[in-house]
Amino acid sequence: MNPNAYQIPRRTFLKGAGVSLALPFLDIMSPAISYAKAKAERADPVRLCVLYKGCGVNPHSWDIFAGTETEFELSKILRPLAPVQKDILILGNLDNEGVSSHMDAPGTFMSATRHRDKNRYSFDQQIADRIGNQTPIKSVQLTADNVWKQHPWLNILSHDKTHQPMRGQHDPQSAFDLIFKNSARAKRQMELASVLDGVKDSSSSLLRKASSQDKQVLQQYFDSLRDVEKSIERARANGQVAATDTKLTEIDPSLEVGNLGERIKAMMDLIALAFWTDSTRVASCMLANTNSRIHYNFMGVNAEFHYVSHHVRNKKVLPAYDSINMWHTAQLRYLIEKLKTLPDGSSTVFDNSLILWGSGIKHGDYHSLADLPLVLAGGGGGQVNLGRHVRYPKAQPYANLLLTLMKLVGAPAPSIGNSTGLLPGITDQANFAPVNPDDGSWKITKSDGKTLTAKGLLRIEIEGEQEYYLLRLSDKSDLRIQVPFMNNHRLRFDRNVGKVVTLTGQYKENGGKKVVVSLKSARAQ
Amino acid sequence: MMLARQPLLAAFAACALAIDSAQVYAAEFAAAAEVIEDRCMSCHDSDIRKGGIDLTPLLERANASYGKHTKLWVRVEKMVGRGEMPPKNKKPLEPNQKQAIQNWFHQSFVLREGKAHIGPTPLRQLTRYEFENTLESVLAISLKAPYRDTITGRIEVSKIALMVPSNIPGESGFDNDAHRLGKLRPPLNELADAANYALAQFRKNPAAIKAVLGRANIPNNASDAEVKQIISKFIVRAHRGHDVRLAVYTTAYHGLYQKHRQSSKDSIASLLHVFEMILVSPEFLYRMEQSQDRNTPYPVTGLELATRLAYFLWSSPPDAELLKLGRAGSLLKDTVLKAQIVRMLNSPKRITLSENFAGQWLGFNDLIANSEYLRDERWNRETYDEILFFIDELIRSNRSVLELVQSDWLYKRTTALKSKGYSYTKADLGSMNRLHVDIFSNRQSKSRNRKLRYNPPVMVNPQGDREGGIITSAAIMRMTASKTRTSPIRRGVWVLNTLIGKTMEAPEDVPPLEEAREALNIKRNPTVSELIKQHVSKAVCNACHKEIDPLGLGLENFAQFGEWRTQYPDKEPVIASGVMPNGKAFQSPREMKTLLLELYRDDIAENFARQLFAYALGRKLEPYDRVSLDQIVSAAKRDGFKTNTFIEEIVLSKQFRYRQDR
Repeated sequence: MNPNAYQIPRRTFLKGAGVSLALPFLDIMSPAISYAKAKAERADPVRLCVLYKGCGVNPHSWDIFAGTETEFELSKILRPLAPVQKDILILGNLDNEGVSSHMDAPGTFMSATRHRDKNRYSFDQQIADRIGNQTPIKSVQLTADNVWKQHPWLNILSHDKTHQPMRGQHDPQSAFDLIFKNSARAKRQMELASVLDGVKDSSSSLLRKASSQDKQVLQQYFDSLRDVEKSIERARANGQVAATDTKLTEIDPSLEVGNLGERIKAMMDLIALAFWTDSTRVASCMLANTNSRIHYNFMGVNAEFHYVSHHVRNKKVLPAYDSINMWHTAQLRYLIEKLKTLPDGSSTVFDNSLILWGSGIKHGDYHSLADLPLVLAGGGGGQVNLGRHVRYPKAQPYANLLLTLMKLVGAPAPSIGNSTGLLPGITDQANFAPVNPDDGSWKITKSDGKTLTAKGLLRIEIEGEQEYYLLRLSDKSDLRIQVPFMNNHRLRFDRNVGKVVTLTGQYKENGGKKVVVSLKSARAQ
Repeated sequence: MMLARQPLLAAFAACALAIDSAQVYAAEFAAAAEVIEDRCMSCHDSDIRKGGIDLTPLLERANASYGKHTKLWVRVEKMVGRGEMPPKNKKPLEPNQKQAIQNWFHQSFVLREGKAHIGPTPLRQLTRYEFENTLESVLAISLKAPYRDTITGRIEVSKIALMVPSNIPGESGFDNDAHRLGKLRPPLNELADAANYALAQFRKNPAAIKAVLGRANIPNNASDAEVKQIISKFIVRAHRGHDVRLAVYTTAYHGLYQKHRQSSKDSIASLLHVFEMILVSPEFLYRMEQSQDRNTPYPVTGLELATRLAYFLWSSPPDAELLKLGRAGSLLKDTVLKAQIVRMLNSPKRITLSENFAGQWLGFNDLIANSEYLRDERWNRETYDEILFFIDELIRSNRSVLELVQSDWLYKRTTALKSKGYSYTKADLGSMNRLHVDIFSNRQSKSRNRKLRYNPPVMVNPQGDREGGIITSAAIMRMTASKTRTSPIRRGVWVLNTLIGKTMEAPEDVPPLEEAREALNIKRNPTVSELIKQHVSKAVCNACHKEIDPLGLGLENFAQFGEWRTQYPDKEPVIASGVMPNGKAFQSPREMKTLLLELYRDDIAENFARQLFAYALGRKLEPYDRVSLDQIVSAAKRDGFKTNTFIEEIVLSKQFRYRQDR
């Protein structure tokens, strides 16, 4: 590859980063580039990044109802991904299990296991524990949302193998230091190794004399000590990035970020840079937590994200809710585009990455765990077949996706959570029958002037605070359904959206058109 | 011979007691089980499981001591004790039935083999906050973000806080929870970097070197004996006065010093390298105590008590005086201990109780730590200081805890003193001056530029009855609202949870507002009070909301940043009236607070005791802490709920002064 090719992405990279980032990053690039070059000789490893956003989605703005696996139209929330539609794989009908509360959602998303605090070993950490020893940093955890001291679980994705929570870095500057400075400071690492050696020598007798309860606690200390030692050894063995460059220690990128947009951008840049320099192969970022109190006032939303996510009883928040979710998919696009600019061996970092974007719940108000909103991106080293929308005809365990990702990253496991096996349709075309094919039977089958029975594909329309449903019939006409809230609610009619439904109800003629005004029953196919 | 026989006799007595008590428990267990069988199982058996509660396991004798059903027992005892179960529409328990449950609970969960005990004492680990304070103290340097007297537009965080991740609070609600900390691997990489940074500051500071090493500089070519002496002195400092195995430690660290010297020309660098080891060693990061490996309580040593006391009241290691009294053992005497508490609460270092304890308990440290609350630097610092200084004044002047709800004084930010509709008189200057001498002396602005000058809040007596206490402070009003609107429910829940100490779980199946709207036949966009009214329509909601709603409604006059209002942005009038669960009505925030005190006075006091006790012990309270807790609360009650009585009683408790290993 032309060595000058590295120049271009560097500039693009900087253009995206905040102004305060620009100058120091120029300096940082130099050792990083030489490292990236050296690394290009080796096999290109697969990296994993999880982008999590709490508070679910409005299903009607998320779901893709029709089309084929490769020919489909993006839904409203997915529309920001249009420029990279060929680079994503949208997955539908994957169910997680358990009761999803605000507190449980992130942990459940990462481990496909329900109980908080128990058996929480998250899939990213299972991967990091397997492949993390090949990079200076085992894994990176970031969070753009705030930590709510009383409810830390809301904001924590990763759990280590002892099922303990791993805090995310909220401050991009600290994250930068952690990823690039500590591991780059060869001299400081020597010092640290010596410090820890010394501690081990002088304090080893402590364990012998402690009570059995104290011993368990101290064991955590000595485990941590061994972890740090191992990471130092790894850094040495890997011929550390910047062992050559002492300049790194003096750089202060001043990543002082006031607003959320800048913060997330800085975090995406950090992930891209960390992946590019092969500083780590596992990263996660909490874009918004599961009870997020963020005000997206920069997009004119003057209410908390969590508040607007409870939209069933408060329809006027829907436009705000959708636009926040669209902003979250736009962050995925940003990362995709960034990774595509970074050369990696004979391809790009994007081609060698796997990005899982998703939320631990589907419906923002009902907190449902069925049919999670998920997007996969990145080639995974040429393994993933992108540019598709795969909706499984029969619901699959979400755990199977995690199991599949673990395999693709090169850290296969026998099982995780309630997994039953690998998920089909990721590496190959799924070739499922088209979603909701019209077999010509969508029509009004009975009507006696008062009551009718009809079959068709149900969708929802919202105008301001007004919402109504339309049943698409085979003759391409729509039957309008406008019923009182409680009628809708008791039948949970809302859940049939996107499905082929047979319904019975009373109707009125309105300008020659039938309008269903009260529902007796509704049954999805 | 007598001596030899004594242990035997004791063993015999213990054995007899065990047999004896086992029989007693059997009878008591049978009595309790009978009550549960007769009165609870019609709703709480495995089939019906009303409210998700199945009491079947409690009928097994094997499940009736500490184990996986402890939580269920605690809940049963609480509901029965409070008279909340059986529910109102059922016949209440007979006094002897209630007694049977309580007796059994007391025997098996509060006592152990018929005796009060304190449960296993967890190993305490320094939190990030304590780590920073301890480094400051051991190295005689300053690491905290300086208290700036000007406005620069950002809230400063200390270097240590940037380097070391914050702690996750445990079940106690505080980040010093030993059970939580004990399960996590300490971030050694970050802690070592922080210690390294602190030592670099130390090296640049001649005064610090003098204070720590007792000499003006570190000799470049010191003799072995000299170096050993320096190291040994430093170890004692870092180990909080303990000199257990000092010679062994000194020899080991001196060896490491010499090893480093071989590759370094700079003897000071070698010395600091060894200091860094000492500052990341477990002896420094953990508050080690000598274990006697016993399952009954035994007193800790004087030095250990000095450390416990210092971290409780100062979040810092013990100072010279505490160390001296600890080493001599006189600290173990009640009179000496009490005198030390008084001395320590007169020291500026007591501010950590407000910053660290109250900041976490009431949650106001989020005003500084959580960027979601950032409005502008001045507003956040001022409102934070208002509540911080308020709490400090409670402790400094030994006032009643109930003043948290209502007081005729408060700290007010100077920028709000002339607000429309408010008037204040400055509180007596004598106390103000005293205040400035200790904690706040360096917080007065010297800046000439008035626009940039930051002046801390001042103590005033508010005129009129809008303000008083902390519930209505700008800090709390902001933290219990969203940025754009207030929520009476959130505020009510905050008062009930945080101040009164009633924990509630969010309802699982909330009936939609629409249902209530239809039931009440109200318009599409109901007003706040209409919205609240809907809860009344459902008995299942009303059970909790009759307590929550009035507390929040009574605060509706305060907008989300704490400013007074009489109408909402949509011009609807604010109606801050309601009815408390005891049926008494109020018309204003002040009246609500009066009723709040009338109704919940003892709960507020008990909750304060619980929170402070849990913070002091670094763990959540357990049933066996009840004996001590009752003692703390009743002593404080006798004493008009004075803050320092709570503190003193906690320090005098067995939990605080004793240790138990199993």
